[in-house]
Amino acid sequence: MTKVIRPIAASFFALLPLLAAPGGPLVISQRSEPRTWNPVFAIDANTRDVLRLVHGRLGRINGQSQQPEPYLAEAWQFSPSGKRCVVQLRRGVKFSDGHPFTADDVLFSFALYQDPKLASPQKDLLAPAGKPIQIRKLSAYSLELTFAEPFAPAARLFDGLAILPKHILEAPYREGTLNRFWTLAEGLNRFAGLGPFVPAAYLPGQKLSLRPNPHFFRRGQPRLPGIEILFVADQVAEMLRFQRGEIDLLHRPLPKPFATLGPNSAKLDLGASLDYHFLVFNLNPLPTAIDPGLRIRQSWFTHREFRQAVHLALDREAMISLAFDGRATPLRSHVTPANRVWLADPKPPRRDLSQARALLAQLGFKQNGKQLLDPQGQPVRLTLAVNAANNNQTRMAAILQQDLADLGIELQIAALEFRSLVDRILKKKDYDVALMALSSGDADPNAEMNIWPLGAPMHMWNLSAAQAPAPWEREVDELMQQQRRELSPATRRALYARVQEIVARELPLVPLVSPNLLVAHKVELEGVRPSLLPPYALWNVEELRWSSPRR
Amino acid sequence: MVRIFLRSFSLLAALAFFTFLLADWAPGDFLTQFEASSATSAEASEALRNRLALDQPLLSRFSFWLASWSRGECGVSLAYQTSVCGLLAPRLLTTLQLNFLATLLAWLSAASLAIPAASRPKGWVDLMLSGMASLLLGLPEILLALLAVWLFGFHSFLPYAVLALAALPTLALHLRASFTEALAHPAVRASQHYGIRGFALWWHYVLPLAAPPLIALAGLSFGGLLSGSLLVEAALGVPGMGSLVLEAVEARDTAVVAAGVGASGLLLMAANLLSRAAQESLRSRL
Amino acid sequence: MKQRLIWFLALWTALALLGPRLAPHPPEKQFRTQAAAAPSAQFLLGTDELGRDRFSRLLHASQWSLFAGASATVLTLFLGLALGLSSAAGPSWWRAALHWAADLSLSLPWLYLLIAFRSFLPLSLAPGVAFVLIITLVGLLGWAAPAKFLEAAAQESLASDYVRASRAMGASTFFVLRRHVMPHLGTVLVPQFCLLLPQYVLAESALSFLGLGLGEPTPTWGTMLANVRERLTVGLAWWDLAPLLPVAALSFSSHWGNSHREDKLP
Repeated sequence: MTKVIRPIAASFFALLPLLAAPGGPLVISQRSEPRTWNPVFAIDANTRDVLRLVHGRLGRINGQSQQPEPYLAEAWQFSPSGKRCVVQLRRGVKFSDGHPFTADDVLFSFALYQDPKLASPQKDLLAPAGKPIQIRKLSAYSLELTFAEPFAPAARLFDGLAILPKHILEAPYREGTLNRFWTLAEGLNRFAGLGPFVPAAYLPGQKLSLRPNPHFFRRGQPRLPGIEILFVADQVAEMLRFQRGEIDLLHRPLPKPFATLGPNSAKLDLGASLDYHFLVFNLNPLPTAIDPGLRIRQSWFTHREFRQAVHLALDREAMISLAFDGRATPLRSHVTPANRVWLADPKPPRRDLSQARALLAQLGFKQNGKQLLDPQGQPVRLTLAVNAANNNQTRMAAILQQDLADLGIELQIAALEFRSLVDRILKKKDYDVALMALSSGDADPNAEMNIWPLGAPMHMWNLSAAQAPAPWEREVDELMQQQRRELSPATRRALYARVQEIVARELPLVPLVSPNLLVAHKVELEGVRPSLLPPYALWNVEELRWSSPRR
Repeated sequence: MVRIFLRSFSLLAALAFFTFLLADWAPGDFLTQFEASSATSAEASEALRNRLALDQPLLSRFSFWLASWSRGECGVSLAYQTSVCGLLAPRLLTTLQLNFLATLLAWLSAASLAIPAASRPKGWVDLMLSGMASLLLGLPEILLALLAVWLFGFHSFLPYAVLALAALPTLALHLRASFTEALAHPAVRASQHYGIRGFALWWHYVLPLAAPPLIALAGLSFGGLLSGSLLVEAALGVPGMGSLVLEAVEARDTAVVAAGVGASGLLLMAANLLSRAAQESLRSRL
Repeated sequence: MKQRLIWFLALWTALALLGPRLAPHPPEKQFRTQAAAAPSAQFLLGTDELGRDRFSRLLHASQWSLFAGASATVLTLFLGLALGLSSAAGPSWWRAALHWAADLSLSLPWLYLLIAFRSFLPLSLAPGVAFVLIITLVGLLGWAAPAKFLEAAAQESLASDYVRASRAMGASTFFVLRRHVMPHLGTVLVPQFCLLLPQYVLAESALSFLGLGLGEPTPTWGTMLANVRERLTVGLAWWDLAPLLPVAALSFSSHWGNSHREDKLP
């Protein structure tokens, strides 16, 4: 019986200190548990966010300037051609178990990420344009990277690659048991990392505790006595616990309760985030066995003017005020204002019903009372697919429906389970128009390479574009490939500005809004300088601290 | 005995197989979320799918899962890359403990309401029971959980209270109905005429008469509680089996779902068997 | 006291039929400048996040919620009755098979089946039609628990003396079931109906969350209830809790309609 009671009692008493004044570990929350301690196998954002706290990287992207800066590396130097890069490592750095860090660990880490047998999701990152980066050891503390062709955002790569301890992982790697070696529970005791924190305890389904890394390379840091990550199932429960003081730092809270938080919380609204909500029309060549009605509907929205009319009919201000409590930013292309360097045209789009009607009339659509008829006299009726579990999106869909009704378009909303929605869009190609959201992940055009080039996995409006791309799609493809090789920042900006111009005109995605990045934390927490890039307020986690000594 | 064993075994096998089958029918797989949110090429996600054996046909995935039982693993979770047993065991313990105590709480409070209600129909306890039952029946567990959080904050007793409250109205109504029926039974009426009252009346006459349907109900209500605890666990962040399985269902982590479904099926069967055995022994005593 | 039951059914049927006609505003009409407003003469129960009249939405919701709840309950009971009776009266292998299937059905993750079913339906299908099909499936999947109750009750009356007497006089199984067993099952069927109805009305909200419900902009009590949850974080006002009222009233009155049936018992 004690076996049953003990863990319960222990977890209860472990939670008690949280109810007291803030202090001790920083308590944050996450929607789900991390899955592994090994970044080679990390496939979800939650896991990666936790791994950033316990693993070190050669370089990181400064959350304020959005530019890469050395971290475990002391410096790096690119050759004028951009194809070679020499990296000098910091000396005297130790893993959390005291073992020294050298170039061998970097070589080993690259080998793991690039091993086809391990099929790491990070593998693509180390192979720009499909050509793997070569790595060579120059000395115990210096390395040389060779790229097959110039790669503009090369230094940003370092931020995504955790450096792993060769002395610990080599044996399981040789034996082929690596994927089972650093699981959450068993990996706890054989962990070694270069990050500011190390795993201390794990209560399945409940929380994860991290303690400071005693060998962290920055002296006197991390300044927090530890971190506790609670697993909280949804935003409502998360907000309730924050309001009760059980959570110290909250990322991306619900906007409405965020606005009503009391004086004990610091509220930061950083403006537009890197996320963008959009409508995507199904321009794919249709499978033969598909609803014939979809062919007719597709013949409407393959016209650019039809998509433009939809774009002009949308009331983005209403979406922002009703679905986001005013905390979102209207978009004219997929590039949000969070891309400080890259946004070409910050002018918000305007609702213009008369111009929208004119465009439709130009295509031969006719108004019949309140209903819009296509050139063949068919009433215009579309189905919008939307993620049922996302309240913001279902609300936006309801707003859209009314907006389009003003044009005479009857929009029917089909709320679907998320995986069913993705399956319809990416596999079955069986939908008219869908409301989706994407997050860029980095303020750099390269973060969009999975979307815009022909044949990219998320080129969702025309997945098999390689067969019949429109001229503008070809141009976007070329511009995206070019910007990747271009080393001059000004030229790159010009190339990407042209992409934005084409997207805003052709509207393969009709951009809607970007929710603002909101962060709330207890006022006693100091050093918070949130970044617009993930992991937001935790990018400088080693600098966070409590304002006064705690009891 | 052999029959019971065969039946349970075939049931468990069918549960596992149908879980795999149903999960296979549902669109998308474990990697769908990943593919829709990350910058990975089609080749890389294909390689990953291959490594996780997701590209295998249903039957070979199922037999792979079965084979893992011989290694004492009951499957490997796709998400956690670890043995499902190790994943499930601590959470199953939490869930069982939660359900056991909540059931006890619910039955005790239901009985303490139903006995006075049945002995004095339309008395104030009866009215209170009706009112409370209809009110509670009108509140889904999940809302009950959130209302409780809103009122009391996060306390470790909350999941117990919410689960017990959710089970209470059905239990109390059934208890009252069977007690009323038993009280109306000629044998009970006769014994009342002979002046038997109070504890003796209830213990020797009413309870034996009311027991058989109640024992059947106990078996069923435990099963219902388990599925109800799924939602409550998720809402209140109890690290039980419910939240794990729910998450796995969404993630299409089929090995975990199958093991979780099997475990809950096993519990359900055990509850049924117990209640049937109790009914039989009662019948033979009467 | 059958009167109460009739009153109960009549009242809710009337609400389902007349409710939408009594609504002062169309349920999907958005008064965008008056979002999340407090009650006023124009909006009796205030407005929701999109500025839609909550009172009108509740009235319109009654139609779908009651229709979905009642039809799923009837389907469940119908299937449960058929299987429960056949199990009580049928051969022992059939009984064993049904019990096996019932245990299976009580534990399987049917969610997958519902999600798969939705994905087979064309997207352009009117949401109402898709919803009715899903509800049918949900109703059919719920047979196991009522079947167990009904079987137990049927067995009890099959074991009674008058059934034995009737059998001895040469009555067929079918005759016995129809004449002697069925009239007694009312005491199980009616409470089951009253218990299941509110449960199915609420199940709709879980279905909506998984994309199996009616979806925007059609209101149902379940989805309106689910929205109450979000309001917890900004402090609930009494009018936010309005969607609780019809559901609680339904279960309250279903209990009331069902209560005091014991008066009839010998």
